[in-house]
Amino acid sequence: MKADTNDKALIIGVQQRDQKALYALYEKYSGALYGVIIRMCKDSGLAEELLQESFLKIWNKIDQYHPDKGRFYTWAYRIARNTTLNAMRKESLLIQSEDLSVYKDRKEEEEPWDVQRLNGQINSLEPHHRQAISLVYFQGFTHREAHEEMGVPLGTFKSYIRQALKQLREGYKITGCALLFINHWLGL
Amino acid sequence: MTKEEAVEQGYLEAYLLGELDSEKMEALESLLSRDLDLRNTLDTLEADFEKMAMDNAIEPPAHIKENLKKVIEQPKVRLPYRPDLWAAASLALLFAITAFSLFLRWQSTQEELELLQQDNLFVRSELEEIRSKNLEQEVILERVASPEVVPVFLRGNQRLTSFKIVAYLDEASGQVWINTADIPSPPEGRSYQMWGDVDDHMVSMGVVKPEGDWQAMTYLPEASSLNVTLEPEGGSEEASVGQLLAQTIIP
Repeated sequence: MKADTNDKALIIGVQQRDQKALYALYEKYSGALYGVIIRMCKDSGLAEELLQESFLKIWNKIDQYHPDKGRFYTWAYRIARNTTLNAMRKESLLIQSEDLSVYKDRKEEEEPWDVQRLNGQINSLEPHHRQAISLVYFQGFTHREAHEEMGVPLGTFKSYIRQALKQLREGYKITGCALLFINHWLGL
Repeated sequence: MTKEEAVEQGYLEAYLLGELDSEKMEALESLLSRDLDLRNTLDTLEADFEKMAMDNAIEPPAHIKENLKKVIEQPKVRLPYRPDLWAAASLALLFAITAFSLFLRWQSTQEELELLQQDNLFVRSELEEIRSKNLEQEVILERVASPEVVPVFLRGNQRLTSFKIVAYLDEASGQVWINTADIPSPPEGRSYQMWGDVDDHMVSMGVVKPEGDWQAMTYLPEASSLNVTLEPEGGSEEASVGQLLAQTIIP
């Protein structure tokens, strides 16, 4: 469990200051982390800066990662999420001292595409379950903030999350079985 | 924290997101280390979470990786040599040393000043005493210079020829003044004593203290002569006539 074999070798490499090992981890996880960051800040320019900053933190703080406590992606996700939330707080302070309408106009011009569009198994969830997962995992909301955003009690929101994760689990199991069957059928 | 709480209260998801406070995190990690089933639930959750993230990955622009490489591969920049900073640091150090040295000297001066103040007090007290004595002596000198005072010269006999003393008889004040500056010290354990011969009887006028100052002795108006004897230390009630050192008839 936790870090897979390839990750373990790469993580040891990064701990030994092997730059190539870091670039390999970047290749593997930068898309997932960028997907989270850009959905949270909704600003591609800022998201690019934050992704770079997150990987610099991973490079500098790799000794703080303990594989026995969880997967590498989970640890990297926390770094990216906190880095993004901090940047958004700073930006929010800046907006308060600037002309808000100008800021809003700029964002709308820069991001014409729907950053909230989600892919994969999550789209098979019921809308309220999908929204709950999106708020928490992709938009950086805490459980308390998210239940207020959805306008439901905290307990109800928590059960949305549990049910959503259960459905996702079922979905991934079926997908996994299907993939195994296809591989077997194709003789892979 | 129980296993049910961890699942029902959403602590596993919050742990995944890094939202738990340190107290709850420690409690959950402790629970996870003991409960394999809960550990497996978290592992599954993490795996699903990662799959979901991969499903929703967005390829970042290529230049981000290039920028990252530039930052990581750039050689460590040493702080440039700044002579102005070094000069400032040296000056600060010099200032600190000087200040410390001055502080030590100030402390030492303070102590010396206290000693000097004590000495000054002592000297002032001595001076007061001397002034007081001088004043007293001036009064005595003025008195003995008075024509009413009769000086009587006493010279030592063959026992002590170096003994010389002048007694000033002041009838008005009822005192006899002697100056003991020139008399030799008596032998150890002995004292000089002055007597007046009153009707063939030696009456004590007091023990002579060879301290170099004016000394007042008892005036005996009926005395016909002044006598000095060598007596046991502190004086005697009866004159030791055999130890007579000096004798003068009062005119």
